[in-house]
Amino acid sequence: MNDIPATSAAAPAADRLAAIARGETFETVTHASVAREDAILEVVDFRLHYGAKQALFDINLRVPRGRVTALIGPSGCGKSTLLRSVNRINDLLSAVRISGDMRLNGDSIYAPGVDVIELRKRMGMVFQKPNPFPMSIYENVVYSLRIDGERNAGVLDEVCERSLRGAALWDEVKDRLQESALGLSGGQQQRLCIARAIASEPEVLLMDEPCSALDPIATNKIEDLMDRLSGDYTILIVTHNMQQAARTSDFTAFMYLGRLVEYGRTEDMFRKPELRETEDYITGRFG
Amino acid sequence: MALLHFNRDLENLKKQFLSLFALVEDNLRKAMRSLEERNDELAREVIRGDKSVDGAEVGVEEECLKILALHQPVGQDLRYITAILKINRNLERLGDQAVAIARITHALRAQPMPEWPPEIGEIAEKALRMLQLAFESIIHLDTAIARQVWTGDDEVDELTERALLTLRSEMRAHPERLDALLGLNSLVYILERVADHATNIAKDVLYTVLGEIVRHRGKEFKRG
Repeated sequence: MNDIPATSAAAPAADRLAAIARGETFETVTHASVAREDAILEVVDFRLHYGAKQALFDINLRVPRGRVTALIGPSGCGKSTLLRSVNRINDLLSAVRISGDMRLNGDSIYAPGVDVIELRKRMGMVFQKPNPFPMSIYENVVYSLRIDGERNAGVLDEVCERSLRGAALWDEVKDRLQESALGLSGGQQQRLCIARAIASEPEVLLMDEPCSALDPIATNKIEDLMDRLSGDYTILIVTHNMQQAARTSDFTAFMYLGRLVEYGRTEDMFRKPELRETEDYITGRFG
Repeated sequence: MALLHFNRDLENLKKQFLSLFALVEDNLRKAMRSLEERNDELAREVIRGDKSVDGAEVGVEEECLKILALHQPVGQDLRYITAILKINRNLERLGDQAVAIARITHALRAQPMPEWPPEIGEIAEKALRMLQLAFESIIHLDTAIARQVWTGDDEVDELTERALLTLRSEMRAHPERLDALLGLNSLVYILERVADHATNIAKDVLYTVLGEIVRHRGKEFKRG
């Protein structure tokens, strides 16, 4: 953890960015306000290579429990790679090598012997494009419970309603639960995906640009939903929309070329970031 | 726009802002009472209380900047936040006016107080009433009340002229009361400033609702 005031930054922003581009060591500036938070997810010295190319460099990040944390940064900065490493989706790519670890509620995510399927049940994932399964609304929501062998109709009904209510979709679909999910609008489909993700009561909800395929009204609904879910759920969201990060998240992590550059409370990151690089990025001067 | 989050931040801002407004109004009334009752202890309380006003002013400004940075409000929301930023500065200065009145009480604590020209009481009553109305106009975003404040300013200006003339002739007639009369002279100017601040607040309320900068455009906007 560092407390470097912006004005004392020894190297000018451009020099530091160039140094990062040359692959030199860079120490993340993590604000003291983050360090005080109780972390549900901890990323520790995490590195990731795609073949010969290193995509993530020594990431150390503590994701506060019950809060919304946004990962921002220009394209190719590694924010989606980092998010996808949390539920080990990157394992599916053969050329990926990692070192370091992540811990969910203290349990290692990458230790040998971790059951990846069990691990993923502890996390919900919402993707850029809504991906409802080609089945009814009801079956979409209770899918994970079915997979786990739950057959009690009462339990399934209850989870379905609770999850749809949690995703602010219940009132819109309660009379057509048996209809195909593919008939819903894009925004409704995305909320259905959130309902499906929270049905198994995950410890963390991972969102990878969840609104980028949605119109402003649907985006608004998802953002309000994130607000409602925070507290009960921890949300880690990747967004290329800085304003979205500003208005929806409690904490913001700024990444650049595979490094975590600066990490702090969103209101601090967007009002008085400690590093000039962050300032330049959020004010649109690069990236 | 994440409306839930925005609305929550906006509600917090309103709470902070209105409690600052109430605090300033209270300090001004206390300051006036301290002078009327020659209560030096009350005057000291007002002077000490200004620290809270300054702290609250900074808090409101921080909250406005946070909302601007995080939510990028537009339309009436944008006008409301910028109006609060400006009114906030007026409130801080009104807090200083309360202190200035309290300082008069303190400075004159050992002096016999001459009878006040009746205009001073009238100005005080009107200026404080204008401030109270300005408060209501921002709570309800009510343009009619805001205009009432604006027109009130003309009456205060007129009363101020008269009060200053009366004080000047008193000074000539009773040079031995000069200190006290000078104190009252300052009081008149301070109260006039209070009315001016209330008027500025009212104009910012009109701006918030109408979307027009109404300053220097009294002919068009003062009477609706």
